[in-house]
Amino acid sequence: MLVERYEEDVAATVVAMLGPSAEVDDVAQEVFIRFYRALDQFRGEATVGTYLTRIAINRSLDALRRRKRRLARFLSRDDEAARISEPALDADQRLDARERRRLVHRAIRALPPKHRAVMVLRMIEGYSTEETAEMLGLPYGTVLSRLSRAHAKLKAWLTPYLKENATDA
Amino acid sequence: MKPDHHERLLRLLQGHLTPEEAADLRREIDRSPALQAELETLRALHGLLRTTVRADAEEALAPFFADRLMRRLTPAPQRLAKTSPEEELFSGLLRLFRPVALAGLLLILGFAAYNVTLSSAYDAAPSTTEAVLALPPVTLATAYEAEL
Repeated sequence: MLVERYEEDVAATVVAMLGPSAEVDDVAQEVFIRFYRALDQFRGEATVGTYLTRIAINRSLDALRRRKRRLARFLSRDDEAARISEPALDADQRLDARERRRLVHRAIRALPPKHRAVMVLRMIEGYSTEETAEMLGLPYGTVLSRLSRAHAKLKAWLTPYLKENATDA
Repeated sequence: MKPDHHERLLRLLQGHLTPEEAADLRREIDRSPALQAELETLRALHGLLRTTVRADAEEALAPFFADRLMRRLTPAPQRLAKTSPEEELFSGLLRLFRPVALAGLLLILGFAAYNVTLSSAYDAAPSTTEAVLALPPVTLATAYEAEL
């Protein structure tokens, strides 16, 4: 069955975009519902997996917009900026697996959604720059620059953990 | 690092370069410690992101995702009697678990209260643990009085 075959891939895309939360299940359901409702428009130019990933990215961006609107009701701009610029982890801290995962998601969450979408498709899903540009409707150069910025930020936030990982290994 | 370098290193890691391009880049990396360090960081970061997201994706969806989805996609009149036996069992157990857990908790609290009331009959003032678990008060002296 198509859902069982792709549910984990769709979940991975949505988790990467939103972080682990109860919202992931809802957005993943929306993705498949959208897919089934748009089946007549699916012309087979892309694979089903690619088509679902594209829908998952768009639904996740919608969910992030909704989340931002909700947050805006509670936080002033300054509060939000302070939250985002908070360092992702303490270099001296020894972390267990769950804590590491939480910090990785915190670092991903600190990226602007547009950069995050590029990073997820390119670095997590493994699509090429050309495919990413096509899926997001962006010029090739924009994908490159957004990915470069996202990578620089993630590297700065997560390098202490990468070093710790190397020491553990 | 320039976006172009980053892109080439990422392509190398993901196997998106032609054999000739990959060989050229590997020669370039061999000559440059900065590129070597960058490749290692990128490899570690790439692995970390993928493993983290995959691990969380396995736990992200609530049980019976496909069944629930199919019910949402099924028109309302056809929705009746569509739940699978496994899902029925799961939701039945879930319904059963809550009252059982509540009854267990009440039972434990009842025992604790009973023990506390009972412990007031002892002469020596018991500690909270002794009172809750209904343990007799034991001092060092009484412990050594045991018959050997």
